Amino acid sequence: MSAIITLSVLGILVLYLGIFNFKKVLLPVILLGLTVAFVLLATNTGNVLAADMHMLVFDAPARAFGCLLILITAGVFCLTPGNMEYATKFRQDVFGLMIFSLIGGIMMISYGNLITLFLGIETLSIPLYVMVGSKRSDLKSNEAAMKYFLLGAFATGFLLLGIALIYGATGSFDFRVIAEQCLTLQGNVSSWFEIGVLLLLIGLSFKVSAAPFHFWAPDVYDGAPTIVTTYMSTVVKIAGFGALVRFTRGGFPDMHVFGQFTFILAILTMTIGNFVATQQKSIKRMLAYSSIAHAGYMLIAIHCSTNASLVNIFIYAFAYSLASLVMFGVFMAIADKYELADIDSFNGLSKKNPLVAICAAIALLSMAGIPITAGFFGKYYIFASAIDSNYFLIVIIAMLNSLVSLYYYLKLIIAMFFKEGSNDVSEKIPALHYFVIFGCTALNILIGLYPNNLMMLF
Amino acid sequence: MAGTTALGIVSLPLAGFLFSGLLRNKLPKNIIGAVSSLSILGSFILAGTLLFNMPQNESKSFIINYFDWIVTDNFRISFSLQIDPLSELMVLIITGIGFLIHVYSIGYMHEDEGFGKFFSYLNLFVFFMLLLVMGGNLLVTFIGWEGVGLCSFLLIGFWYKNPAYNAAARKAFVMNRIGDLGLLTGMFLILYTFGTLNYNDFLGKIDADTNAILVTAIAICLFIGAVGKSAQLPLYTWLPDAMAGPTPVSALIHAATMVTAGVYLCSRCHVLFDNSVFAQNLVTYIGIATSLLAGIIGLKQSDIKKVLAYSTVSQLGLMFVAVGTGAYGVAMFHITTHAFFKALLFLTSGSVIHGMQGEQNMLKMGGLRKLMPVTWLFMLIGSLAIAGIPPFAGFFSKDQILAAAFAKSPVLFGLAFVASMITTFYMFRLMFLTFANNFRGDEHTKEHVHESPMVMLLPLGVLAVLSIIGGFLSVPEILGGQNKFIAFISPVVGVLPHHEISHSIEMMMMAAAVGGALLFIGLAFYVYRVTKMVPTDNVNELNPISKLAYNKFYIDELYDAIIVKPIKVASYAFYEFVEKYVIDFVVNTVGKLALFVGAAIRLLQTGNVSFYLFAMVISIMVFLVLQGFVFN
Repeated sequence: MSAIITLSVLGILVLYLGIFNFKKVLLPVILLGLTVAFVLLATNTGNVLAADMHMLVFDAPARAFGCLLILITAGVFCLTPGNMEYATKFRQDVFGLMIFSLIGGIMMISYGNLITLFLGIETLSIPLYVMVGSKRSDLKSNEAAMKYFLLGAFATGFLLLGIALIYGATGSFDFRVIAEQCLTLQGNVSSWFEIGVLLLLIGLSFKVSAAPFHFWAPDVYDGAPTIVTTYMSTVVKIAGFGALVRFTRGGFPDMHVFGQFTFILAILTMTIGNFVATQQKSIKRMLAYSSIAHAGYMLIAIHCSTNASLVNIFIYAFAYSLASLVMFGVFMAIADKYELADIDSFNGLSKKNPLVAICAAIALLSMAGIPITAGFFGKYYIFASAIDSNYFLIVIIAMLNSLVSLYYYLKLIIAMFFKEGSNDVSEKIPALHYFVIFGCTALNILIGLYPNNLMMLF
Repeated sequence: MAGTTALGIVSLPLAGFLFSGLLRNKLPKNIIGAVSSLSILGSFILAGTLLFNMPQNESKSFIINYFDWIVTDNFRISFSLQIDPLSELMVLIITGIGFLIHVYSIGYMHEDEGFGKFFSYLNLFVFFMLLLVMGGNLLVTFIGWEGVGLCSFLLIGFWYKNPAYNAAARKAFVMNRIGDLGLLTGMFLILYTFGTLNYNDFLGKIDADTNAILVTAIAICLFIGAVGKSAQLPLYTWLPDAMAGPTPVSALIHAATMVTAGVYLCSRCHVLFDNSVFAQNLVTYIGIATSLLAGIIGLKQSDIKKVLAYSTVSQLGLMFVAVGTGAYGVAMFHITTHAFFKALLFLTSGSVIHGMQGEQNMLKMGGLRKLMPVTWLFMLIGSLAIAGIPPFAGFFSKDQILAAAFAKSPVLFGLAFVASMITTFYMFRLMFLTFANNFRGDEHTKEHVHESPMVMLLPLGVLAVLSIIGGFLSVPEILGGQNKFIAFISPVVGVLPHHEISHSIEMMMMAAAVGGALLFIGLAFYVYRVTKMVPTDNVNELNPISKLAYNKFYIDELYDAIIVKPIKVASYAFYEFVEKYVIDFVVNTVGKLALFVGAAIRLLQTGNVSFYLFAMVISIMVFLVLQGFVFN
């Protein structure tokens, strides 16, 4: 709880610093604030509000996911120098909004009550609508914000309806009560309840851009300023999956009301994401589809709801976010800045900047799930526990999908290492940028070598 | 303490390999040679100290587990080394003879530009060979097994600019791979049956009640591995070709150490063979057949190293006869004496080749005794030893093999006797052709013939002394000895089977062997010294049987016709038809299909918000319908 308070104060402080033109200290203050929030969250052992109200529960999974959110947000902030100028003029506004949005994310992964879940989702989403449109002079940015808002409003509607139906069926918003009801009724739940759960899941699926509720994602990812895209494809996705797995594991430990739904969702999401990604020429769109595909793999863990689902999703999300940060970081540094978007803009990177090219290659291999990267273990744990619970079909489909994904990941690697670069723009990459790229790569390999250490967080 | 020593023995050659490998172009040749040799000497000394601290427990063995290597639910394999009389013996042979050959190589390879590379490979070989014999489980042995195969490959093809040498290296590698597959299969069978690869564990579990077919299968698998490595029928053809490598390599790898690994493996796992009569018979027959065939081929070769190579194959065959008759201690004894005199023979032949400016054809030699007297003396000692003339080393070991063969069956004894007579004859044929009579090469070569330098002669001297006295390690009881050597390793390889042979018969056998050997020496003397006959290189003048032997019974051609050619034809057919029209087609179609599907789905992404909303609502409705009516 103290982390949320810290972040709220930080957000307001950032806005004021912006007004009084202390732009130089913005980033240090934010990073300091995030660090404080990280420490507070990591060491939070008592549940301030949970004891009596059970509104927010900072149990071990919530702490792990929350710390991951803060860590990745800090990474996103470190990528801002050199990128905010061309992206948007309203730096402090976007910074402030991002911090508020993060608060929503933390609420989404620590809720103990459907009300706080809803609050979290909205706190996360509303700043996002503005952030997506923050490049005011750019039509595409405006269009993306509009689309996101319209579709998001629809999704929120369904989500709310779902919550209302669940309330109607169980008479409570409290998760513990709902779970108790499920246990006592044992399958004799009213169909309103089932529909409510389904609608709530649909609302969350929209947030994690699962097909067929993914249509907004490519357009919005493409139109938004890249720094916002980075934030959306990492932090928002982690928060969405944190909320999903908390819902399926927390509320209904052994019920499979949503069994077939998540099955179809996972397969559609993986397949559409991967197959369409093969067709993309723009890096940003390709990464958008790849991020849809990754949501599909994580949905397998939601589908095969076991005790390991929490930690499996955590590892996967961690690996995926690290790789994404690197890829978006490299993309912003060498292409986006110059209004380039095509895969060709990566051509010959290995000659110009071999270290960065190697980091990018490791990130891509991690996304494709090649050992010794973290991405390999992300996929391995999810697939292994799916096989343990006899979900063979979905694992086979997932493996075929990851085969397809190699096609477009390797396309980028080939561009970097085997093609001649044409543009002779001398890239000057800010130090913090390097810090993120190298740091994430190192962490990626480290997790790939010692994946078990992450398990201890749970 | 023993653990540290064992680790030191193994790691010194590895350090030598890294040193000479990394600094081979930076340091002068002498330093590289000295450091490499000293690293082996260090291992030898460490092994020597171990000799006085041998384990005193019942099985006389230490197993040192350094770390867990592969851990699964069902089994656990650690990186472990084993010290017992058997491995200790092999370590002493490998490092002792290895050191001498390293020293010799300093002189032999001095002019070679790949000097540093040569020594690094040689050190690496010793490292792997030590791993092979000291491994506490089959997997560690297997690393060494593959490693020595690699080093053998690298060193046979050491002069890589000659395509024929490369072909020889490749042949050795491929032939060994066939054997390795057998060994691997055996390992899998052992792991499957006994759940462990530790020698002491799985060997301890085998007794008369164990599934006999399984034991036989495992024993045969391991023997297939041994057949590849120790160049037995039908996989022996690589060893004569392996003479393409520098002569010290032939001495160390292809005579004294690596090729005996098969015998070592069978002795180490002797319990398997003890419990399978079929496997024992197979080993015996393969051994004796190889010994005879290689001996006959050796009779007609004119390349000095080829003769020695076939002699090695033949002697290895005799060792397998000992293994097959259950006399593992005798086999190990023959390994030891053979290592002494065969290394000596190879190195002296290297000295001859060195003096003859690289000429290996004996028909162009002759009369070298006066030009290279020391080499002649040493080679004579080696030849007497291999011929089994008392008191040279070969007499004692060969005599015990013959005794073991006799105990099994008189026919086997007869065949082994013939094989050893053939050995005597071709060895002295080699001696007389090379050293007797007049020089047959051109004048230019003759002027340059010289005795080898001290650095080459000194190791030869040591080996010559060992070839003379080595046999006294184990004097049989009948001659008043105590068979000390065999008593030393019998805790590991088991005591010798009890022979029902009376002393008089044994004495008669011994006399027959010695008498026969002397007779054949005389015959060779008459043919090649007195009548001064020089074998012809012209195939047409040979009688049919000699022609067959000269052409090595066309075994290579046979393999080429029944194995290599069909494989080539098949691979061509697969490439032309299956690969191009079936596999390529399927792969390309799948790829195209994936891209096509992607392109098709992509069209849904219209960018139109109202369509997105429509799709979303439709999907929700579909899910609700499915949930309500289909899934429930």
